[in-house]
Amino acid sequence: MDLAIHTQGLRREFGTFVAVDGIDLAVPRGSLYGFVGPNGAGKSTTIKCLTGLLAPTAGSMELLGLNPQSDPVAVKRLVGVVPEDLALFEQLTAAETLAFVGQVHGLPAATISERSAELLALMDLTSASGQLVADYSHGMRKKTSLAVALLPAPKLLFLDEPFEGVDAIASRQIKDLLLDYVKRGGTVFLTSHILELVERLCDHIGVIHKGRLVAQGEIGALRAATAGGESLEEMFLRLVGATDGAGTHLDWLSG
Amino acid sequence: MIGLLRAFAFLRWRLLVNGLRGRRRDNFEQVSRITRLLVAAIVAVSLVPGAILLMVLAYAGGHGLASGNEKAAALTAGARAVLAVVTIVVAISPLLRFGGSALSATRLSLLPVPRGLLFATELAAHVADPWLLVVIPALLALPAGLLAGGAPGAAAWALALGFLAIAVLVSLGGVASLLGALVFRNRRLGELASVGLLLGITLLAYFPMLTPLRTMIGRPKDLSAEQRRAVGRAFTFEAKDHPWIAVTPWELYARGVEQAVPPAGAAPWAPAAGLALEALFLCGSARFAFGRLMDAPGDRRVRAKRGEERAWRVPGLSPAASAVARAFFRLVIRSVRGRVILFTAPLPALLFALMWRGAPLGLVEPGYTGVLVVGVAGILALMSMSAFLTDQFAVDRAGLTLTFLGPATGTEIVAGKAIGGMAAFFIPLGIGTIAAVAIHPSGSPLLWLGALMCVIAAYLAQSPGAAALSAWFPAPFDLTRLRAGNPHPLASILGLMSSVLVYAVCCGIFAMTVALTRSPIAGLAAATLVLAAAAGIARLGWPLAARALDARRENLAMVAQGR
Repeated sequence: MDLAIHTQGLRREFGTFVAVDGIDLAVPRGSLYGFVGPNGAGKSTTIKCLTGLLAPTAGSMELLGLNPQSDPVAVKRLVGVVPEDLALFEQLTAAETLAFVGQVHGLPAATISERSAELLALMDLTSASGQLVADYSHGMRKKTSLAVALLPAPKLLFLDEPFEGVDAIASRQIKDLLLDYVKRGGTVFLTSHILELVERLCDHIGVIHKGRLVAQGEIGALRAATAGGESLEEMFLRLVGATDGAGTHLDWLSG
Repeated sequence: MIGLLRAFAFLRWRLLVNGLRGRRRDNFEQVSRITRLLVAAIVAVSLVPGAILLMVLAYAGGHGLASGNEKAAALTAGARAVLAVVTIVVAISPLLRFGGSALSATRLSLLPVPRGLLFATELAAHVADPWLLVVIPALLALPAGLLAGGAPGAAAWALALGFLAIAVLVSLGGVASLLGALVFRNRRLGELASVGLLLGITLLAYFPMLTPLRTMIGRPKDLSAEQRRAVGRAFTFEAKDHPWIAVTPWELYARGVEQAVPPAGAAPWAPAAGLALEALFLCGSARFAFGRLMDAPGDRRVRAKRGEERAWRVPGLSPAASAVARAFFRLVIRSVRGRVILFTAPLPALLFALMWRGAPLGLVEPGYTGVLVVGVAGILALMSMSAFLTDQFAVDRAGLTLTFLGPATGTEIVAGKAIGGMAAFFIPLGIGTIAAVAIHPSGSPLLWLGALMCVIAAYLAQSPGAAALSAWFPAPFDLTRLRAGNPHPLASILGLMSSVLVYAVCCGIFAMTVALTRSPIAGLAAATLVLAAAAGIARLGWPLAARALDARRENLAMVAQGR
């Protein structure tokens, strides 16, 4: 199988805390891969390791056939990222941010202008493109960050919670855009807490729990393997060992 | 009420303790954190002796006043001065915080607590202002001294006046803080107010020197008697010339104490009533501002406009380095701290240019004065720029992650930062040069050019060192807020020292050449060599600094976002 992301024994420690504990990711090229897990499971740390923001403590990685540790610049040319904190310059406008990223990627000025205009229009940011990012709402920042990730036409997209804080219209636009992107051969690796959305949108999933990859594969195959064809939510809750609150029912909470 | 106060005390205490604890990700960060805390601890500890000294002086003075010691009368003059300084600082410091009150209006408005009680808690928190903590012991020690000296009536009045003075100061702090919060919640208005405030303060500080003092310094020998008197008047403040002084809190307090102590021994009703009225007025104003703030805690008006951006490239730089340079330049010129630094830096050069309209204290010949002003503007610009050049990566905050996510090499990032910083550096240098040309137009153009080349050489030569210091000792530093962090003290000190040293070498070679040869052509030749050498140092140094950057990327991205 042609893999866009392939890791072996990827591990990241913070002192004595192990955030990512030897995971083996296999993300096929042209797939829309949903990476799910409870809060603090290690999703964002994994993305940070894959995108070069954190150095792994151990293990190996390969992105689009390249090693991001030995050739980080070549990998970054092929990858777009919407990180957890969106990573935007507060004192730049959306248009200036796009110009910055386009120039860092070495795109010609005309291409940057053309793509920026299209992306800003798609994200409904044209009228606000002259405002500083500092003045943007969370949703506008999220859309700017997505535009930034798409501008260099990457082969692989990392999206950390792309639908969080985004309105229904933008959410629909982003979904359509991602599906179209995958149809054209791109690969998407996204994290989300909205399991229904992941189930509908993604063709592959990975479930991480306490830093370990507890399930991975094609979403249909994973569900078929379970007795009675569980929903993704049921499967997820079973895999991460979620209980009904260990007997605590907050009886004191009355309307 | 007690429960609420305990909750707020707990909140402030935990915020302080958790802020000090932090996390350490590597040994560099541990050293960095310790040195930062050390500086904060030294500042905090230095306030304690000041408070003790004032308290002892107030007690001794009170005792002396009660027993009729004539020397103790100086106490009230001292009290006037100290209270005046504290009043001004209490009024200005919340505005300088950029963001006004430390309270989170949205969070507070959600609490199930009556608004009046919230206001009282917010106001009471101002008692913990360090400046107030310095004077409060003295205001309480004075009545104690009077009591010990055998003047119980005066002691009671002094105590009452002291409480009223504290009420005025606390309310004043509240008004300033809440009005600040109202103004600064609108980012653009807040930035404008901050820059205006700081430029105003700086100009006020220079204003007296622009009139009679320059006359005195410029022509010390032919200073007439009238001019001498003018200088004297400029530096002497006669309270009787300014009737408004009589209603200031410090004057009311001091006058009240003077009336209450023997031999006058009168009841100071008027000063006490004045202080009470001021406290009431300020408290009411603070309550009004608090109400406005709570009515719309999340109000953020923004201006919308269309924006288009052409990604032009800086000649000689790669596209990635150009992008970094442009982003850094924009950050500096669009942020409050950046603007304040860039526009206040050339003011002293302007002042020197005016003062040296004769000969600059006999140091150089008149034909060289303009060139000397350029040199002064250069070192001032370099020193002021080192304020953010020594933390050039962390100032990007979240933008640094964006830079790291792109395919830019370490050298491209370092070079881009250096060139972007240089573009910003040209602003104070340019203002200083224009002032020099306008006021001292004489001298050979070759010398002017040579001086500018040497100043630029100094900037280039220090740039790799500044980048390395920024990578080794990053500190969370938000240029958009006046009180949101500073560069790491160690990086600041080392950066400043290296800037001065490099400047001394670059400009020293030029000055020595001109002094020895008396030839502008030789001076220009020396400046050209210096600039070429500095450019070479920068080109060789940037990849070395990039190694430091690459080794610290992970840590830098986290520190930049305050983690």
